[in-house]
Amino acid sequence: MIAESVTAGEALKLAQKALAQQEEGLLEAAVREHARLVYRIAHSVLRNAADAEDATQEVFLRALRYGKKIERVQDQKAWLARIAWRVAVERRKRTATTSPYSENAAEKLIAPGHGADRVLLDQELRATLERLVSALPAQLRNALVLSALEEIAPREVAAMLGISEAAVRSRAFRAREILRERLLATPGPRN
Amino acid sequence: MDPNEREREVDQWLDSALRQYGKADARPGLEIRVLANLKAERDRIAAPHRWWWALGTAAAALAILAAVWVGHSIREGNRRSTAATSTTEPRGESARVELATAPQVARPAKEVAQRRPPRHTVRSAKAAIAPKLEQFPSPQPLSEQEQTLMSYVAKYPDSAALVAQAQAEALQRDREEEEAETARGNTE
Repeated sequence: MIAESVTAGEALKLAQKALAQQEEGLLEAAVREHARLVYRIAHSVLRNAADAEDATQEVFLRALRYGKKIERVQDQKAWLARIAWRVAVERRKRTATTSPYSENAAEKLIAPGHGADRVLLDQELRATLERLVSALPAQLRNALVLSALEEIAPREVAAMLGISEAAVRSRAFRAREILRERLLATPGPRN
Repeated sequence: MDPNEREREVDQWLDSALRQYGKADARPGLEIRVLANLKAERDRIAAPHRWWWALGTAAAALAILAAVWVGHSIREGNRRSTAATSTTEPRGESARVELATAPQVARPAKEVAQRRPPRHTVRSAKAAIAPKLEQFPSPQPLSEQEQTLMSYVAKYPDSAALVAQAQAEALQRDREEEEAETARGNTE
């Protein structure tokens, strides 16, 4: 009898509401599951916590604007990773003048379990690495940066960059070799 | 330091540094902040939709009111024109016959365009409502004089018959005299 008392318009509204709730639920679940990965991808490109968080927000806002598309996405993780990559690269182009290794040193200094000398040493080496990575050619740098993310498989990196899996491995290897050579040539603290 | 040992140390450090490179942790509560931002965006998107609904409803209500008003004014106009036609243009049976047989071209086109559609609808509606009469012209109620005459005939039928006979003879005489005068006028 309840079903009979519901008019067609009300039924349509209920269906729309249920659909919206379903979409909302899907997106919420995606945020809870993949927000950290999205942040890391953005951070690997932007090298700045605030920019990475802004990029993460933008990624999920874009996902929201896609609306029903999220229902049809088979691999949400790969889909969000691709959006995160695009957003981060666009942001990096816009903020190309900012320092690539302006990471907040204070956080590292107060990290537990590290002595002050060790923290400072790591900080210096990290800064050197950041500088060397940012000096790499874009193709090699992209492959290396994404391969460094544990959560993303080489197959997914290949899909994000639009190249083959073998090319990803090859580029990441070449990038690592360049870094190694430059580190050996640099008179750093370890030398 | 031995070069091989140094290279090994650099390799180890590089592997470790690259692992750390991708392990950036966001501030606590990243998901909550993202969800709050999404909620705000949803509300922002939904706000114009509510406005559109309100505007649409108001526009629909206005359209309905306008339609009702226009329909009412048209009906009112038809009623007035029908009333004016019936008072200013009384027509008998012969006039109707003339109208029916007269060619349509003779009537001014403007008048036809103005009057025909509403009159047809009103008349057809009236025809549908009024019962069909067996006799034409329709019987009217008797006047006071006729009622008095009827009661006299009912009470005194003999004298009424005599009066009627006398009137009929008088009329006959008048008619004969008129005919005789007419015949005389023709011969002269």
